[in-house]
Amino acid sequence: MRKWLAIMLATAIVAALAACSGGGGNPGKSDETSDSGSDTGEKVKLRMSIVAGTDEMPAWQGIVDAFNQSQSRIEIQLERLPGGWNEYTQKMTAQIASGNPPDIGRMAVASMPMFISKGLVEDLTPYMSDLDLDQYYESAMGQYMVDGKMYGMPVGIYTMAMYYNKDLFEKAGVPLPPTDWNEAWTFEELREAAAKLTNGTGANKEYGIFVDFNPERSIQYLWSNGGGFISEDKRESLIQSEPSKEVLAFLQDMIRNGYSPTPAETQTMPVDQLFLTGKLAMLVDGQWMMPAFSKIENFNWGVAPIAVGATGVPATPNFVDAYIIFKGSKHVEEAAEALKFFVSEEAENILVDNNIGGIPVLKSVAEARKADMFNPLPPEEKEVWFQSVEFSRPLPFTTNWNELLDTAMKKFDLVALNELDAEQAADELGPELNMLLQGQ
Amino acid sequence: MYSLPAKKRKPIVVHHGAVWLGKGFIYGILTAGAFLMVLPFLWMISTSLKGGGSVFDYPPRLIPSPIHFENYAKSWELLPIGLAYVNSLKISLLVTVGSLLTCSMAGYAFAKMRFVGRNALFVALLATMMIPGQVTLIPMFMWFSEFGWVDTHWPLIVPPVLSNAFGVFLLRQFMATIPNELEEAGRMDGLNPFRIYWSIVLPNCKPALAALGIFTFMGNWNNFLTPLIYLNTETKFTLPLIIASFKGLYTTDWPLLMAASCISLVPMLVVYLFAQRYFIEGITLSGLKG
Repeated sequence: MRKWLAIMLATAIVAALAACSGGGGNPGKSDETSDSGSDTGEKVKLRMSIVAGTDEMPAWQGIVDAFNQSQSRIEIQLERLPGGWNEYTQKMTAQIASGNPPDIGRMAVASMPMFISKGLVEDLTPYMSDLDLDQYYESAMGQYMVDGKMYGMPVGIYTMAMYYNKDLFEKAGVPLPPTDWNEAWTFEELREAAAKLTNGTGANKEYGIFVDFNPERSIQYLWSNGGGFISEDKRESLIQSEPSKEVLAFLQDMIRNGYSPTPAETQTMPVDQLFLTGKLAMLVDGQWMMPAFSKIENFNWGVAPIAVGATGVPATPNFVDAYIIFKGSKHVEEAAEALKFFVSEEAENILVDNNIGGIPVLKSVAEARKADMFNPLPPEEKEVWFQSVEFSRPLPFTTNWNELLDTAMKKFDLVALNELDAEQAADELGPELNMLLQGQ
Repeated sequence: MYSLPAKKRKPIVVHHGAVWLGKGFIYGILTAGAFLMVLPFLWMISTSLKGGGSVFDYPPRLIPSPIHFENYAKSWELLPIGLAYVNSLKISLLVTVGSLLTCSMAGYAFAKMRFVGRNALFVALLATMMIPGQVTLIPMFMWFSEFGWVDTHWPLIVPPVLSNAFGVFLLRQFMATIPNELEEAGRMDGLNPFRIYWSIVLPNCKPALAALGIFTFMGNWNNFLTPLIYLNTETKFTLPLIIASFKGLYTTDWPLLMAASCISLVPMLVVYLFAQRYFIEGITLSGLKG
């Protein structure tokens, strides 16, 4: 929380600075000419700064190297930042404020509204005229359009689905879930399965399911039941609506009946570890868990569609991170060139080779490489991921998204710990969210 | 030789089991406490030798089987840990030596010299301790980027040497307890203020200097945020940055992370072994601050 306040403060300073210096047209142009004018053989050097673990580096270094080799005019230097998105945001805002930011970055989808509204990223629209948008998934390319301007280039599409432990299903005699999203389980079927899959007590307890009230992890249930967290226009809260309340009560029941570990229990044992050690039968999570889960050797596991609520229409959130050009870059044109390369067939294939970035945004690559992605899943379960894109929607991220999450989680934590009734929590939370939404 | 054990045994017999019981009780509590404290450390070492899948096995196993010694080699090869070691050592040592010098000089001035505005200055200095680091982060960054110091080690060395308010405070308080008579004796012998500081006050401050040195070294050795903000090139990274690199955005390679942590811990252990006495003195000196 405090960290976020600091980041907000920092961005406010940066935005003020950007406003002060923004008067003089395009300051980058003069530098550009002096760079290329000094020596025809000299390359334009771009800095690209990303946050990543070492395991991801072959992919990112791969696309950067490929770009550097694809032409002779521009050279990108890749800087890797350790840590998480918070540290990354902090460092980038500091660098923008200093007037010497990296040229290219990769930003979490949740931070994009704030970066766009504060004017910290360049408008890409002028450079995108030669990009054939029809070749890309619209759910990805449209994500960073604000008032007809494009501020980010999608990295790849991450969606969520249900991971499950096949061995535990067999042991409990529960039939395996379907693989077609149109035949996905109902909430009632999910509850029954969770009940049968919950076994044992104490240290040997096997949980049927993991219930996470965090809106970024539970929004699919809210959507498919006809509710939501906040409205699509980001003006009002939907959490106090009847369909949303139903879902919250349904989820709280799972915890009350002991089918799901409580937040207190997952504090001591991270939930991905719970699944990895075969103590959790069902886990709704994103494609980004595939690399970790593909190393599982001691049991069989699979992927299935997420259970669907009253509307009968499946839903899953998509998370599309963005390549961006930071405000203050002196080589916007060259950076835009690189961004276009990053969504080209060559670069997308490199990401697929390394199992990074989710489903490619370029339809042709996504189609052609189906066999190479999401291993070791059998083909029909791979299809669960590909089909999920069709039912996926972006979360309604706001400029003050972290404040919304903090406010919501204060209530939801009590709900998960059974200290507050789900419906009462929703009634209390609704007005609080509305206030935050009006304040942004 | 012979009489000593006999003498010792006597009071024990007199007090019956009460002393044994009391002692046993105290030892029991201390052992339990020590065990609790050392458990995370043991877990770190044990995890650093485990295979990826068995980190969260239940029941937890302290001695892994099979033992994966290659985790150390792997983590060493994967990232420039050796280079990070050199960087971290360089920064921590320079900061420690530098801030001991500046803090003791400032502390001496505040404790022993009389000048106009001394108290106001001291209060102002203390006030700087109240400002959270996040607030000054961006202005500092902008300033140092004007200097062209981004992606160098200078911003990690110069500010902590020049603005260690806590250190000045600690040393001022300690120096204030040194009797003025010592100083006066020096002055009678014709020492100038610098010689008094160097030859009389400093040698009398050894415990405080040691404590401050240890805290400063530890603080800089473990510092994560500042290097993260200023450094861009991997070859300039410090150890905490390298260790954090084993953590991915979504998943973490625990064994490699722990192996790297163990490697990075060695200098701290060495410092601790040699300076244990000062550590304890330092903690009594500075109250709970440590």
